[in-house]
Amino acid sequence: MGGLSEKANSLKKIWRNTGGRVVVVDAGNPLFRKKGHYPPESDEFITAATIAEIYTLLNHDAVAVGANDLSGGLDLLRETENQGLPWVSANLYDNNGKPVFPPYISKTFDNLSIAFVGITGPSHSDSGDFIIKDGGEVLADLLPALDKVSDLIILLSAMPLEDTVGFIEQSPHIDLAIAADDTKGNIIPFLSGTTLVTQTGNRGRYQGVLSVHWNGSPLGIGTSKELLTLRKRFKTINLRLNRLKTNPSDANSKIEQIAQLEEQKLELIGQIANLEKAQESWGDRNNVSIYEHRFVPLADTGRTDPQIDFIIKDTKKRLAAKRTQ
Amino acid sequence: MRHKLCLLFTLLLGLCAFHWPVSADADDGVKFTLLFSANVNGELEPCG
Repeated sequence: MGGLSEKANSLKKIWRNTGGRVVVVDAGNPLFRKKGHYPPESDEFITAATIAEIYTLLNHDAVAVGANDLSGGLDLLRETENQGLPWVSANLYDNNGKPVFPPYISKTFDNLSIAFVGITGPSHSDSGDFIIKDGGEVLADLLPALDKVSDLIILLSAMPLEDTVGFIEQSPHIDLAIAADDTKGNIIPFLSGTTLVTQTGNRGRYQGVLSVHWNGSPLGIGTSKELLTLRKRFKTINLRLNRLKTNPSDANSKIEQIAQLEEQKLELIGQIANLEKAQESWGDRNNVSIYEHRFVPLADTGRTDPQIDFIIKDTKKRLAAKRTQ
Repeated sequence: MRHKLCLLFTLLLGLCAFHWPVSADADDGVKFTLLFSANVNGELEPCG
């Protein structure tokens, strides 16, 4: 099967391995592929309702409202919120000028208070029953106060990546941003100022995993760990070079390979020297909050979740029966 | 004299307690795993 059933299986495994020290979030657009107006009897609406049901069962801590998620109307989102799906959006307002969902959701680990702030992407203008305010303005009002009561602020931005980076440049309060730019694939975490930015590609084919050791400093790669990796790689290259150089057979064909390895070795020497210099100048003792990331493919591996399988099969049956009517 | 010393010691202890870092940002830090996704796009079972 793959997809959400694989996701459920994967989340449960990580939950077990970490003793439940996990937070599960989505940066937006889980329900619909496109912007539009899908009535309750449409295939898209029925599928969206099933995804919301599954997301609730997977114990999400915060889900940002993406522009596409509004395609089933506000009632669908409100209903799924009542059933336990924690939608979050700081800039989605109803016609009476009231926020539709909480602007942020907080979660506490030990004494660490994490705030998840949602930003909804630009939407079709003819929707009528909601207003999407400017994300940058809303964040400028919200974040200074939120920063005083939160140790870590995580932005779930259903906006294009450039806009998300724009928010970060305007606000020093965001520690981590999960983007939902549907024109991009998986984005390996990168630093924009002191804010770490990442996202998974579209259609739910990957689960993003970020293991964080937060110590109050901005997220980054620890130089000690990086140095260890580079030195190991250096050792491997050296061993390969020695083997190639000491083996006299077929020496000519190995000249190119040796040259490539020598080049890699030189590059590594430079990287190691730079890191050592950095380590000397600012020390490595917890000067950054260390993280590790990976993207787990949710392909058809057969490792699925029986409960989610049942829900998906049931929905597919209902959709098939509807088509034959 | 002994009472004064005792009072001074208590005051010092109180000051130390006030300034001690009782927060999540203390030396050991906090470990957790963030599981994230985006743009599932209405896909129950994506293929390809």
